[in-house]
Amino acid sequence: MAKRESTFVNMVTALLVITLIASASLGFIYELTKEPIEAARAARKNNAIRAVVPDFDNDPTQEEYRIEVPGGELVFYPAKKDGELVGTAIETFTTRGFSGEIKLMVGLLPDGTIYGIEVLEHRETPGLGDKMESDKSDFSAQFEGENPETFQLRLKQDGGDVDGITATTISSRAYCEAVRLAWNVYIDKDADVSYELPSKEEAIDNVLPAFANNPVQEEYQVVHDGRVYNLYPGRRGRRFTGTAVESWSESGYIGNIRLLVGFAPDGIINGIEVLEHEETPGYGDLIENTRSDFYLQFVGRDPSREVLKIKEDGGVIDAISGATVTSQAYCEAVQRAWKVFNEGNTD
Amino acid sequence: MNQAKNFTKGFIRENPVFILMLGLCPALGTTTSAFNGLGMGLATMFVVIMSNIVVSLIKNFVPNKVRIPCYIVIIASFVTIVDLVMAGYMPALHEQLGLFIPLIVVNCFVLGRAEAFASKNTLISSIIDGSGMGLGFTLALTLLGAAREIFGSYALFGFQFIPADGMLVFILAPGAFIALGYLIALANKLNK
Repeated sequence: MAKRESTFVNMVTALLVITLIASASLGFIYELTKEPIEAARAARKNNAIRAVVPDFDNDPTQEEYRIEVPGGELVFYPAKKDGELVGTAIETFTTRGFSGEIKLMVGLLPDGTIYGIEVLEHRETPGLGDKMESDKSDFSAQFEGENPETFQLRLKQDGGDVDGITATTISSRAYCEAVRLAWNVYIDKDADVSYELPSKEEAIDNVLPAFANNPVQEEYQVVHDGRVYNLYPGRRGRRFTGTAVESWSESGYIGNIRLLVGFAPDGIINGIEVLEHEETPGYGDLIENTRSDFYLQFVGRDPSREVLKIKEDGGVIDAISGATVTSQAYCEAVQRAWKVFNEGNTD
Repeated sequence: MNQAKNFTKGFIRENPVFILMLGLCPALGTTTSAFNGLGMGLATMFVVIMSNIVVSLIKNFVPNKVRIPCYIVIIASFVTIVDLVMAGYMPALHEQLGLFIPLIVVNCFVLGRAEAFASKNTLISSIIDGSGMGLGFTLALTLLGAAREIFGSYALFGFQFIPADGMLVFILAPGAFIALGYLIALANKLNK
């Protein structure tokens, strides 16, 4: 048979016939593999549940319940033996992985002790982040038998009890976060998990030098450049130990950044906590104290003598790489706090 | 053409990765371990054989001007079939390679065989060409994966021979280029 010429009719028929056959065979294969694919998915879920809770005799997927959390929902699979709850497998997630979403199955005993953790889905770097899978390294084993009541679900470098995977800080941190989310919601179903940032009380506690009063009760306002700021004085007996200033910047990369800056009486920065932000996960959110040491650059500095701006703007602060705008906004909020502390009411 | 030569040409002499430099995107992206390289190579081999068969069968039916879209549709269909079948019957392997399977569609090596060989040769030659080239591609990916796994994780096919963290750079993207560069040099040396 000679090759057909490229006439319009020939081209249309050739394309039509080929695409028709292709789509028909794909439809056929799709139908054929539909059930096995679903079965494989269910089997994976069941295996994960089986791996993270003690022996059970019910069908946990039949008794599942869901709880909505910001950004998605957690699925709870209660495992029972002879009608009695022996553990709960929780399908949890985080979007702060190195390459996007990570889904975990976390198994908790009724008292909240972690029984086991399996990774359901992730896209972390093969050879690095994928060591979070239980068959690739011992990383997940360190959680087993620990109760987050006493075992801080944060990396050691972030002040917790978890050994991160070498060279895989972001993945390890995200993993901890997903486990923390599951545990928090399990323990307190109404827990506010929208931001895992410190509450105002915790933040005040962290940024002020030792105090004995209740700074929140002594809150007062200062008006500076037309903005109203909340200030929280710390005292010990009659001695004034420092002031925490709630400050903010509107010029974050995404939105507002709200900080609490603690000053010693002589104006030296004692500590900073992020109260609220919407910056990009993996970049801008490194301003959070638990995520990087960025804030430590400010601690111990005297804003009356040093320019608390990033180096690109002629200051002394190393910006977070990839998050210049966020770093600038953070510096702006710190500087505002200092002016409020130093100059008081201007109106 | 001598069929034995036709079969073995893909191993070294016309190796798709080392000599023709085709399909480098999956070659670099999937080869973080020998196993991943092997799996990707076999999946690609299946697609290249099947598309070679179909393309050589319909070579006279397809007018010249629309041949490329036709080949792409054929290749894409086989890739989707591999993807679905793997997800259904080999879920563990699919989990490993799932992300990269769709990449086979845009693997210029597969299209290259359809265009350069299958559309001009007989069915039997095309099958032999597809098998040989597919094996060559599998060989290249497995070698590259093995090299990266050996240096990057001190392991081979998941078997750890030095209990330590390897040289990280080989697992990351730059290591793929470095390892590929040395393997290409080696293949050129052997080819002389």
